[in-house]
Amino acid sequence: MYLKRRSSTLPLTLLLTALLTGLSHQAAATEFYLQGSLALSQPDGGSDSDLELTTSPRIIAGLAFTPNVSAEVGFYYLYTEQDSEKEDVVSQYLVSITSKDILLGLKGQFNINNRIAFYGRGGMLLWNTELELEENFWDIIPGGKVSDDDSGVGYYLSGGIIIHFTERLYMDAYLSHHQRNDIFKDDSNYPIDVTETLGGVGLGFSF
Amino acid sequence: MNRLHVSGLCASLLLLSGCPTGSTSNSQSSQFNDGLNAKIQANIHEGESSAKVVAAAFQDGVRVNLIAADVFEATTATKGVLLKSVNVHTGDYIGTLPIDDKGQPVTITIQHKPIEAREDRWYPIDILNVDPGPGELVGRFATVSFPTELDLLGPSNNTIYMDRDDNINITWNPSGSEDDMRLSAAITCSNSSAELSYGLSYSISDDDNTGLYTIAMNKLVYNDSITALALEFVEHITRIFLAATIEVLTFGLIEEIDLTSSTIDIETANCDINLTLIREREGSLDDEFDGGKAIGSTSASTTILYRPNGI
Repeated sequence: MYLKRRSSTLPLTLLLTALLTGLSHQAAATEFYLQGSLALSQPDGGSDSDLELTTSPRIIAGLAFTPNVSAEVGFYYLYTEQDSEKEDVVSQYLVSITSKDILLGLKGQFNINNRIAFYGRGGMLLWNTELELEENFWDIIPGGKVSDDDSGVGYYLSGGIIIHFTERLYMDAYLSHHQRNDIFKDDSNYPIDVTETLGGVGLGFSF
Repeated sequence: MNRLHVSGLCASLLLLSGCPTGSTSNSQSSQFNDGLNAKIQANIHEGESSAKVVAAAFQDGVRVNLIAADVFEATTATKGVLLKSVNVHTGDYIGTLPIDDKGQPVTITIQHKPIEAREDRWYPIDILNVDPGPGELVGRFATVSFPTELDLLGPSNNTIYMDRDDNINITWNPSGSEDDMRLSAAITCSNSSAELSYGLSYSISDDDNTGLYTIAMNKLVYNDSITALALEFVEHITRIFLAATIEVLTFGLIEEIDLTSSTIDIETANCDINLTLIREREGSLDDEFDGGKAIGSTSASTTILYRPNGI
């Protein structure tokens, strides 16, 4: 039995609306930037998933239409597994999750001065998530591994601060939330959501 | 001291792993034939519309842990439940089966349920599943039916006894059938600084269908540890369902250290005694089993109080 869950898209819609409104009222030269970061992520696969805290890389490329609004595309990679092997009366088992996600969204920023800015970003998370199960039967009978993957669309929301070292080189520190809903909902009676709360630090360069 | 040690060990083994009670009069005494044995009991407690079903299988006397999604399933004509392990790898399985008609039998079968057995897990178990297929015990079954419901007439709840020589008259409406009767007691004695719990069990002869059994308080509340160890402790399968029924998880679990190191002066401690009367009817086991027992039962409980120092 499972409960079908639906994510709320209201915050994302509001953010996109605000950013697009800002964009439509501005006209300026475009600026391209590239940034990479590492985040400490705490994934959650639902009750009793007990997934490990993990380090996850992210790359984002952006095009700033105005000094305050940018469109972005990014890649995010997640690998985590249960923090320990579990066992019940059936078997011993360990589940790992690998997710390769494309980020498509907008960033809006508020410049405090020419060195420091606060920003918010959000958008669609195009996830491709694989679960792998390793199951053993106390060496009484042979165990094995199986895996399967699914794709879908979720969302991400993030907020952070940018501190410029030079006019082009800057540091980015942020907090984010990633939401992937109903993974395997088409193939399973037991779909799951995989969410993440993460904080990261990275470097960016404006061209 | 040696006797205490050996007896204490035997009591612990009996209660933890189901070794024989040594009582041949006990209708549930363990029958550890070579080969595959099963001990299965389904019990309806008074006022309940469900049965507690307990099962364990033994191979050459050693309890078998069902793994890889082989499970005991208890079913009636309309309902079914998978029995869950009391704890991981104890080999004891228990479940609660709704009973629509107490006159209908219950069948307990070892099934292979690769998805249902994993339902407590968090990930998509119907996609990610390493299934080695059914084990060799799958297909074995037992059938039990329930005797007439027990109507326990006395003693009434919270009746107080103040002397170990007092007799307790346990009365019930006889069924007129040849079902076996059993009395189990979960006893908790305590004083201001300590508590001691244990369980006892007695077969009751009711060939005359009088509906009366008299037992002295000193058969329930002993006055030294040697006496305690000589008593017949609750057989393990009964202990499990009684523990679930009356929610005394340590029911019957008595250790040597409890007896020899207890600070309780049993002569002066207050004891609460849950008496459970059980009417048992032997069921049938699949011919593939080499031995064992399948029992359907009904039960009723009352609690009496031993207060040696008065109220």
